[in-house]
Parts: sequence; structure tokens; C-alpha cells
Amino acid sequence: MIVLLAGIFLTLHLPYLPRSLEDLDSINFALGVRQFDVAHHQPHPPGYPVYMFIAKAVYTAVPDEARALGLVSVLSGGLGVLAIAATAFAGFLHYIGIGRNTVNDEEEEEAEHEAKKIEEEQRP
Amino acid sequence: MKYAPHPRQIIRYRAPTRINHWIVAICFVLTALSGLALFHPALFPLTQLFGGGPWTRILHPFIGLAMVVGFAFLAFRMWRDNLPTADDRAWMRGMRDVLRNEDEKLPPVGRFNAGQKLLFWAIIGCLSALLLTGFVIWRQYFSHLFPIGLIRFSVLAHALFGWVLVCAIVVHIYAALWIKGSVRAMTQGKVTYGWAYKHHRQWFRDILRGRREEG
Repeated sequence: MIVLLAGIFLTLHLPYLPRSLEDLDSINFALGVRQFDVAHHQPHPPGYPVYMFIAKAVYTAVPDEARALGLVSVLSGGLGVLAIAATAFAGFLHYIGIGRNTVNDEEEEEAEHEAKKIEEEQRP
Repeated sequence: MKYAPHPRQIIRYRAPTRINHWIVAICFVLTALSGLALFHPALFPLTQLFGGGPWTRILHPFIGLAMVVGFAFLAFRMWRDNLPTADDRAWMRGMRDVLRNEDEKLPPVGRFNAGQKLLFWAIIGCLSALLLTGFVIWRQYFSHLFPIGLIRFSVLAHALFGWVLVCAIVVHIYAALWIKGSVRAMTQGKVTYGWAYKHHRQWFRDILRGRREEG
């Protein structure tokens, strides 16, 4: 179900990757893909190094700056959908009481028996 | 059969440790939010929480430094209990039982389990790396002391270690919510005998046998 949601997200986004750069920021990012240099605003500070590092790696396989940057954003969005859905699913499981590690009365009783046994051993 | 409605309790964390923990936690949230604002263009609006872009850039390293100092005190209190033991490997091998909440199949755990220890050392590693790389990229005071190549490398390493730390803390929070009673231990300081017996049996036995103090 969660993977399906991510799949739907990717299916709706991948065919519409940008074919061109739209404004100054995206041009700076594209220049940064070619040569990372924050001092020359490629891209502008603080440089978004992880984003650029991944974009450069994708650029080796997809030699089009706009598409490479768009692909990183879409794939990150897909992972985001996975993470959000997984968190919501886990939260739902916890809400209905499945999954959470609780201590029941029998375990409290077992602990009390163990404690009494140790306390008796400790008595002089 | 129902046991007594008020089971006996053990002190898990004393007040100074809890205060120390929450100071570090608050610093982490502030550092993470200001760091994320500088991490990706989509998150830049987070700078509004800190008074805009310049203030975010100014405050981030100072809050980060406070977090490192706070965690150093916490690490000093806890490092002995986080040293690896022979049982930790068996605990890690039993990860399937951990996820199934079948604690009885695991070896008796001391004050911290192998997962907690791993987190402890991962945080120390990440914070050390973030501190070192953070100084290199702290342009106001220190960057002029380093070559541009090292600054560029440090920017990248700082972002990567920050990301690892955020992931580690997400797991930490999730585990705390998952093991019912853990959050209470860090807010009120006490756990029931049953909790200690189930999750940290060796620690429970050591306290009752007088081999170590509570808290």
C-alpha cells in the first residue's frame, strides 16, 4: 500500500520532468551541476552540498542539468511519500495497540517474584 | 490474576540527567530546524522560525555548540554503561525478536541495550564530526584559517553527518515511543519493576543485589 502510494506519486511526476530552466535560481543550480562553486553562486550560498552532490551523480547518467535536478527532486519526493506513509501507518498500528511494547500485569508479577527472591537471598 | 495496581518502582534517571537530556534535546531540535533550513531550498521557509536567513546562519553554530557541550556532560554520565559487552552481539542477532517484542528470547540487558549503545556511539561520532567540520565552515570566525578545498569538503561532510544524526534521533524518538514507559523514565525518572525486569533485566538484578546504585 505504502509502496503503491510512492509508485502513484512517481508515475504522476516522472513524465513531467522540466525540459528547461525556469529562473535565476534554477540556472544557478544547473551551473553548479557542471561546476560546483558557491563563491560564483553555482549555486548560491549556502551551496546545498548534498543536493548538488546527488544531482552531480545523477547528471553522469542523465546528461541534462534540468532533468537531472528534476529527477533528484522527484525521487526525493517519492522517498518522502514512503516515509510519511510509513510513519502514518506505524502511528495507526500504535493507535490501535499493535506493535507497541508494553508491560502487562503478569510481567509485573514475575518481576515482583524475582525481586522478592533476590531480597531473600540478600537477607543475612 | 491481576497484580497490585501500584507496582514498585526503580529510579531510572535522576533529575540532573533528565535536565541534561532535555537541554540537549531542545538544542537538537533548534539546530536541526535551522540546519534543515540551510540544507535544501524547499526548507528555506524554516528560517522564519529564527528571524530570517541571516539570523539562522548566525544562530545555528552557537546552538549547535551548546548541544555538543550539553551532550558531552551527558556522555560523561553514561559512557561506562554504553561500553560494548559480549551479550550485545547476541542482542543484535536477535533483532527479529526485538521487533516482535519478544524480549524473553534475548540475553539479559544491562542499563542500556545494544541498540541504545549503538545510538550513543553514533551520536558521539556524528557530533564530533559536526563540531570539527562546523568550525571549518564557521565563516565569521574560523574559515579564513583553512584552505578552500577543506572548507568545501567540510560543507559536504557537515551536511552528511547532520543527515545521519537526524536519522539516528528519529529512530531514538520512535524507539522511546515504541517501548511504553521510556518517555516517562526520562520525564519523571522512574520505571516499574516489571519494566526494568522486561527490558533491562541485568540492570534490574544488579540494583536489587546492591551491585550498583539506582539512577
